[in-house]
Amino acid sequence: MLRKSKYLFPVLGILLLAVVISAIALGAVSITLEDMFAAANNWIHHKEPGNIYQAVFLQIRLPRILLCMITGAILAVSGVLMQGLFRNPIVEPGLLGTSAGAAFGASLVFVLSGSMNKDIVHFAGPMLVPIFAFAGGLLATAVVYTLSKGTSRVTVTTLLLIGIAVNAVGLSGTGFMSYIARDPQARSITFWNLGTFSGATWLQVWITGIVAAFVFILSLRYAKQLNTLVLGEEEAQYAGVDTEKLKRRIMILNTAMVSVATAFVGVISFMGLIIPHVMRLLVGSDHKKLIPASMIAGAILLTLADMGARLLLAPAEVPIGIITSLVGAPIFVILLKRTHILYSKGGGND
Amino acid sequence: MIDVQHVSFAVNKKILVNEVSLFVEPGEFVVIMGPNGAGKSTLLKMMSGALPPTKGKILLKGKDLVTYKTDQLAKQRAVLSQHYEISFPISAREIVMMGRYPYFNSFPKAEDEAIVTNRMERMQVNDLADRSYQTLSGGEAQKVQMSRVLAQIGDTSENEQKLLLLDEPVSHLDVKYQHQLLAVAKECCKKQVAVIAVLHDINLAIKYADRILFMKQASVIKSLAKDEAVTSELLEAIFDIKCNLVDLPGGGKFVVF
Repeated sequence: MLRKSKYLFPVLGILLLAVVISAIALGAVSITLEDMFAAANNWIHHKEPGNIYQAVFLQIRLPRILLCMITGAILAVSGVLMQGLFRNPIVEPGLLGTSAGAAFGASLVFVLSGSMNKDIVHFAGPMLVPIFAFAGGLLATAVVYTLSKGTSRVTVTTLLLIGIAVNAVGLSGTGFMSYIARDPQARSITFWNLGTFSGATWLQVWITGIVAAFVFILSLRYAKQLNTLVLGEEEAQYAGVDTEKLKRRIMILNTAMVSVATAFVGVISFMGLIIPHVMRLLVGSDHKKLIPASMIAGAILLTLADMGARLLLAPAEVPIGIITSLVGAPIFVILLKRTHILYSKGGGND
Repeated sequence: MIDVQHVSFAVNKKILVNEVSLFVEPGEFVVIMGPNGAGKSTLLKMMSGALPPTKGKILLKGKDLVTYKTDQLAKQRAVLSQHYEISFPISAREIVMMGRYPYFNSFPKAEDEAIVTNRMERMQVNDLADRSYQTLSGGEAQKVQMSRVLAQIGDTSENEQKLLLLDEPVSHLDVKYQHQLLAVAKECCKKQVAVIAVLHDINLAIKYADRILFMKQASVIKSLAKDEAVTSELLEAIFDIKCNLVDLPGGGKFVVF
């Protein structure tokens, strides 16, 4: 029996609220609910923050947590889209080379920005790393897609293998950059590859937020078509879905959202793999429910992970990628062991 | 309804279907029979629009099949395939609802819900509605898929004629449900639907078909109308195996291989 999901959305909503409030309250400085309301009130009336706590809340804590929620939601939805598209529960967003390409783009900036044209560096400012990361992610994914296209339609196996190859090239590029880098530059590369939300700004929140909103609306519109794809590609066509068109559109959506998210916060692994798995167990694979449920769950879990990153070794910060991998990998293995029966009937290897 | 005109299909110079012509009107139940590799499924696939013929053309309601858009075509014909591999857990009812996806935008209308319930009742799978499709037995899964295809056909009328293609629809079913499924398909015929099915059981074909098309080595050897008697010579020529015809008490023949 698929469990009825009557209470799922209210429960997820309450969880999200609780996690967000505690994530805001806890940290290097604690912020009270009163300060949160006072700061919001001052902000609405265009007044300066009343005290240091309100300022921390508005300028540091809030953008950080919003960026966290948006990124978590993006990674989770992206995982749902990729798994649905390839009818395969082990596909994840990083598979298409997006994150490896982004990491290489970012490492280029860390190491070479000193020798780049001064005007460009000055003009782009803090956006230089995101711009290069975004371009790197986009480029790598385009290469994977073009190479796997070949003569006929894109198959999962070729895509997986070419993804592995391009990922390897991206990694060795990043490795080379670390090798020729000076120590602080190498450290920046390492940190970026493990992801961090410590530099979150309102501008980043706006950019990712707008992209995310746009992408979520679109992906909900494809929910029906993704459902039909569960039947198989040919059967989806009989049921009225132009599968080639759907593939192209979802790939573009996915690349755009993952590149943007990765560009600002670095590589965060396992989110796109685990959340769709867990949500499938809870709500089934009807994408009309699966997409919004994964979105909220992604926001909750990444905010929690970031809270852990800030609090575990306070006042120092643990890179968030270490937490998501460390917690995510065992959960993933347990889920796989417990649920392999669910997937054993359909291989999706076509 | 569907007009197949001198259609051939070849891959790498190997001819899978050779110069087949066929015209089927709504209300007619046509069964295609023949040994393995005779080209039955390929012919059916061409009639579904999934496979463009390498020679000849197929008209659906007077319009060339290749000019239909995928979503338009889904409202004109439904196809039941031989195999389904479902990759994710999803409820049986949602699978049936997929038959209605071409007809609504985001959320199913009351009419769609009603059709889904009705078709699941007709295939007697209503109690499976909340089960995960992947936990169903082969026969249950086939009945759910048939419900979905029936939902995709929807309600038909004089102005709203449809085509139903069935590729070995009874392969996983026990005897009772083999008859039930074909009886439901036959019922569709009465409501302005043209049904074309690939079957392997000659006795089922004799009982339900208005016309039987015998294929062998990519060509149609014989088109047998309902009032024409089936002969052992014909069957032996098609299937390469000895057979006997037994007279049934109520009239008609029963074939024993």
